[in-house]
Amino acid sequence: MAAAGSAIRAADVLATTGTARRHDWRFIVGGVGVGIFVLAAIFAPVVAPYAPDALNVAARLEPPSYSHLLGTDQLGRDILSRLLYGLRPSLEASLAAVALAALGGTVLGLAAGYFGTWLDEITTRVLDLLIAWPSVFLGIAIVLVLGAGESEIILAIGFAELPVFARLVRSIAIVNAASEHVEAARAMGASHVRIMRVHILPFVFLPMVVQFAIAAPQALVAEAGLNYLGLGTQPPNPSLGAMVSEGQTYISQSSGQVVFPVIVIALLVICLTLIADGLQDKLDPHRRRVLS
Amino acid sequence: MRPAHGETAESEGAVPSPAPAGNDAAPARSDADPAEVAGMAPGVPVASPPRAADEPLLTARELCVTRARPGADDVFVHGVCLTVRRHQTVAIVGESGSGKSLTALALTKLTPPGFRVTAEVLRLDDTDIASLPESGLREIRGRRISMVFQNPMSALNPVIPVGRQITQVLSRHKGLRGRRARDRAVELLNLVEVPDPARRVRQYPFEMSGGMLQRVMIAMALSCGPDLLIADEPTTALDTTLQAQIMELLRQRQRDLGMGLLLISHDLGLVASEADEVNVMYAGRVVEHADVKTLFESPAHPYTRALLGTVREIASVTQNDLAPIPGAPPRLEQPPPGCPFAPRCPMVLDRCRAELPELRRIRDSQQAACHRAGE
Amino acid sequence: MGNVAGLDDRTVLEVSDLVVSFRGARRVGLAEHRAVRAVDGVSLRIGSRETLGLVGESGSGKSTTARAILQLVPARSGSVTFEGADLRSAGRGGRRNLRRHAQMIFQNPLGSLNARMKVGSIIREPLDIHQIGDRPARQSRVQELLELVGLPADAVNRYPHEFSGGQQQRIAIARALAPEPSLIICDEPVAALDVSIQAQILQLLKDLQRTTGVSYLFIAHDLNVVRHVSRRTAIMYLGKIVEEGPSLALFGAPRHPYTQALVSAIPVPDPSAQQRRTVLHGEIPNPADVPSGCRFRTRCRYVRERCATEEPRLQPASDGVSVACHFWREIAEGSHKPADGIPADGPPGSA
Repeated sequence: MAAAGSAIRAADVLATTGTARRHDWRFIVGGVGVGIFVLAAIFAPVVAPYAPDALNVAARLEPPSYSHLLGTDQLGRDILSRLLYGLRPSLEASLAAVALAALGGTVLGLAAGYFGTWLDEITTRVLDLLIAWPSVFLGIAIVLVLGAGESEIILAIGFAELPVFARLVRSIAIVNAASEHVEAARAMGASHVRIMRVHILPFVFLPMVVQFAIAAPQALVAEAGLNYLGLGTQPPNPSLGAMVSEGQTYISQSSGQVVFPVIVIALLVICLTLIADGLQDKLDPHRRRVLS
Repeated sequence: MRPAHGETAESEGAVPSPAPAGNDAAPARSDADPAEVAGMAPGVPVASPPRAADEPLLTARELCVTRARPGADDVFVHGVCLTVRRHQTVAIVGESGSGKSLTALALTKLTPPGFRVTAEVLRLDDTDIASLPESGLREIRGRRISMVFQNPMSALNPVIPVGRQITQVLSRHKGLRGRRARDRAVELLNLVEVPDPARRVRQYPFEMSGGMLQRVMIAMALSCGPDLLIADEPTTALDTTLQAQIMELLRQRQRDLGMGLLLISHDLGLVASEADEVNVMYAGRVVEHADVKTLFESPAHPYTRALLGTVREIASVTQNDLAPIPGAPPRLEQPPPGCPFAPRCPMVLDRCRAELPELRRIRDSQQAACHRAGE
Repeated sequence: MGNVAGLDDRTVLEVSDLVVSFRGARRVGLAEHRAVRAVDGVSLRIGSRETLGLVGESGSGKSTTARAILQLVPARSGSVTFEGADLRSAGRGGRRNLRRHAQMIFQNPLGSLNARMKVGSIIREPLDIHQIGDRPARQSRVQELLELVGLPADAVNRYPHEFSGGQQQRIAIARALAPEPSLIICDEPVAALDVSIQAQILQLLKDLQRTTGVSYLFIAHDLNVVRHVSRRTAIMYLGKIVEEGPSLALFGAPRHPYTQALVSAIPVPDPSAQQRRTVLHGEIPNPADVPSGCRFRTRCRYVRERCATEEPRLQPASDGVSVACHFWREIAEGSHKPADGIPADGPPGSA
């Protein structure tokens, strides 16, 4: 909730003062880092030295060398190539999951916050229920019902992240619905749809952006985790989480398969979090004051 | 920005009223001597020296409030001079942007972070406030100088019962604890005419009405028997009937305690009935200073005249059209050269736009910062 | 439809015995859930090109009355007739007409404007909602309105926070004028503004009434301001109107003890004025627990037995003023002494 409050204040400052002035190192480092990974993911087919599923059992479990920059896994596949090819589904899935959460959260939060009464009661209970379930359990539950796969874990992570968005939008909706400018709009005869579109949604947009930046790294970690458990992308398609899980057995012989995906995930999370941090600090005067 | 202990605040809630009291008669008070209740030594009679002969209690000269900015600093208060004596009520009158509230905060260095307070002289009796470290300032605030604010909602802690907030002040400045502190708190509430104080003491701010909370604020401000009370728009948020009650209360306590009162307000009617001396502020400067009678009868500065004119027009029994002052007060961020009132002044000359007028003496009890003052 | 100059005799708004009640309303403490009658039988009438002042302190129900008139809160009973149509039976058409021809401006200028909308869109909104005119017509109407309220033409593309309080209130007024209303309800429109700006806005409202013929329901607690702009005034206390009539007569010689207290509490900008202040003691009672009989009796200096048993009704007194007090005549004549023996015209001033 503190994050939500911060996101809301951030949006207000941005809206009234225009874009902030100083260039924050966090944006630069975070932005460049994420940018590199995104480009790597997009251009994987071009950049990767090998195909991700090119077997070479003779060269299994080799340490990093000139021909295999990060070494090979237990089936002789090039780790670097698998990493590059595995980036894209991870990033896509995380993005899709957060987008799903944002969309669903907005619809629910808006309806609940604006109309209130029983709709709000029901929605809040449903959200409470969802929040109680971490994405791992949701993932398992959904997979049990629908089977394993990338789309299924997108659903799982989406549902897990949804409550935060919904609560954020709901609190903004409540505050604005009680405000005088909405009262003025009602007095003028504005319809509910118009009020939600013109008088509430604009206040939702910027906090959403901030929350998006916060949720993205969480979704990434969740995606890797669910893939680690084998609930997502099925072999032989590469995925960062699955690589870690496969490589565990062979860790004494060659740790590359475990270590490198973890490093990639960690770097991505750090970069995304830096961006989110930078966004919050730049836009929320309260937070900035505490830190300085 | 949360004021330190001893400063005061307000909030909402309706309560059943007691049986009708007679006009101006206070409900039954405790038998405690007001001076004793206020924390001074028991048995010491409160002297009531004649007003004019009092030594200055608060003296401020060239008080400035600035905020650093790359390039030139923003100046919000330019060289304000103030003097308040015991038993005396000095008012600062101004509209938004005049700097009056910042001036009040600057007196105890309570300005928000980022603002700097400087002064040639800033003294309370013989204590030099300007050079006090933060610890010394904390001793002064609440005990020797207290503040009452316009909106107590932001100054009272909503999750602590009202009585405990009073006892916190008492314990900090007077060392009172436990039962004695609680009893004193009840006495104080009684003194400010809060009905049923024993019950009220345990209530939370949200359970009390605006008028009641303002009284609580005043009780807290008076709890340590301050030498000076600064009241920043103390009645603006209240209904008119409550305004009269609250000001009556402050006046009585001022008489009992020999307190000086610095009243900040935009309400000329309030100032006319309460103040002895008036400072009119505009764009961060004092543009006129006079005793209250002179100010209202022969205002020297065009701004004061225009303001009085407007207030009187609105208050007049006729419903004639108004001749409002055109334009708006300048934003402090872009001070024009010359007199800040020049763009709106009906008597403006070229000289006014180029040369900033200094505060100069017009007659014995009046000063004004205008090239054409006294014409 | 709308405000046609010359039809000065028409009744724009007629309210009859309006009752608004809440369950566990805001003003009631946490433990209270009883129904609170915030507005308890209020009747008023506003003619064309007329300003009716509505005065009351917090808890009087004046703001709730305004919102009930505009159908923003539901009324328990009573009727609101706008431009000849009783809103109870007028259906959607009547309601739509109300939404177009009755507008409101609020106390807090910035709060009533959508901070994310440009000023042009804000002013244009009523036209958009009611689809008045085509796009170019709306643009030019916005320009017209900006000029009418004294704002620069380039304000259209700026945001509310770029303007001062007084200017923001002008934006709100421009918006209210856009659909050519016949009634504008002003809820404390100048309370949050500096004195010099108050004068500007009040004068603006007066001028606009002259040129457009709009009527105002002017709600305020500042008696000077109300007296200055309103031809007639009604005084509210705890949900009821206790005195009502032509402003100058009403304020000149108030008949109801509450009005007397209010009038005497107005600070006069004159230090030598002997203020005979009728200092009212006590607080406004809890609206959930209204005193029996006359609701003002718990704070009234002239209270007698009859005040507790019988509720006074609003009755014509003199000079066109109506009062709700059993003893108004005796009080005015001086033959009715306050309960505590203090003379009827108050103690010598404390100023």
